[in-house]
Amino acid sequence: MKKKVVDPTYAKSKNYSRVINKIAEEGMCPFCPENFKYHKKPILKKRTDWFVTESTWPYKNTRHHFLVMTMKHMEELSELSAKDWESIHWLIRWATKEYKIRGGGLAMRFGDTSHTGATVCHLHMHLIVPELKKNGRAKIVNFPIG
Amino acid sequence: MTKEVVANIQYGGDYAEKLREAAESGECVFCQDTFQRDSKFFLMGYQGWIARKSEFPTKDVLGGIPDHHILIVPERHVGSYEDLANQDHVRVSTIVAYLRSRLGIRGGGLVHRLGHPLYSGATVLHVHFHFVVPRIIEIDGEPRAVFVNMPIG
Repeated sequence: MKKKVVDPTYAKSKNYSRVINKIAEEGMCPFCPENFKYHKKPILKKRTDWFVTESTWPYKNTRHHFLVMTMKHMEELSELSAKDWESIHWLIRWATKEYKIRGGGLAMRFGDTSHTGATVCHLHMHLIVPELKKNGRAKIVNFPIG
Repeated sequence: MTKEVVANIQYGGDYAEKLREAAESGECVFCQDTFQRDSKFFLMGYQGWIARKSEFPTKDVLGGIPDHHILIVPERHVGSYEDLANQDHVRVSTIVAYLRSRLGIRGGGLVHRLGHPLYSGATVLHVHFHFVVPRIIEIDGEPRAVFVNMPIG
């Protein structure tokens, strides 16, 4: 039996659903380096095993939608060490400075995908920066859990 | 001049009144003992952090309440994500793992708003993480999570 690496149930667009279904058939984790062919956006910065890249399918109302992820296959938050967090922070600080980010959100899903709405099991964090309205306030970006 | 402890009161919904009171007094809502140790909501403490049920859980897309909406908060006042140590994140992860085991949580999401509240949409300016676990309903005989939209911005 193939290991579950993605869950097409909660794919948020038709195009994304097509890609995720194809990956599900192959049964290879799309975020592990040896299969990193589906993600077309460049790696922007690396720090130890971690890197930051743009989301291929940014959420509505985002000015920036980055993914922070690791080359090691992990699925649980509890697997992260203080060293991992150092790398994550370093990348977030880098992105904040590089893209002049003044505020946003950091979000992640973990555990059984049928309970979280995650599409890719490989642990990844979303760094979400909303677009601004004409009055300078942020538009709301909804991060769905479930 | 009182320090800024809240923002975006317009997003406060059910807890807007509490935010207004905090804005007037300048006392951080999350620093207060009544918040940190209220037995009705308190779940656990761990190495300077507490986990507490949200008094005002975010509703899911069907208008219901998720299985869990838990706030994970440092006991000390931390105003910015930048001020968290790497070890603080390990503590948050440990709390999440412990609660999952204790409450039988199979999965969920963690959301944190960072930076200026004008851009993050944060209301309480004391660092906190939202740990949200959607409820599960059956659709065509299959269990499906009812999603909760956590707003950023």
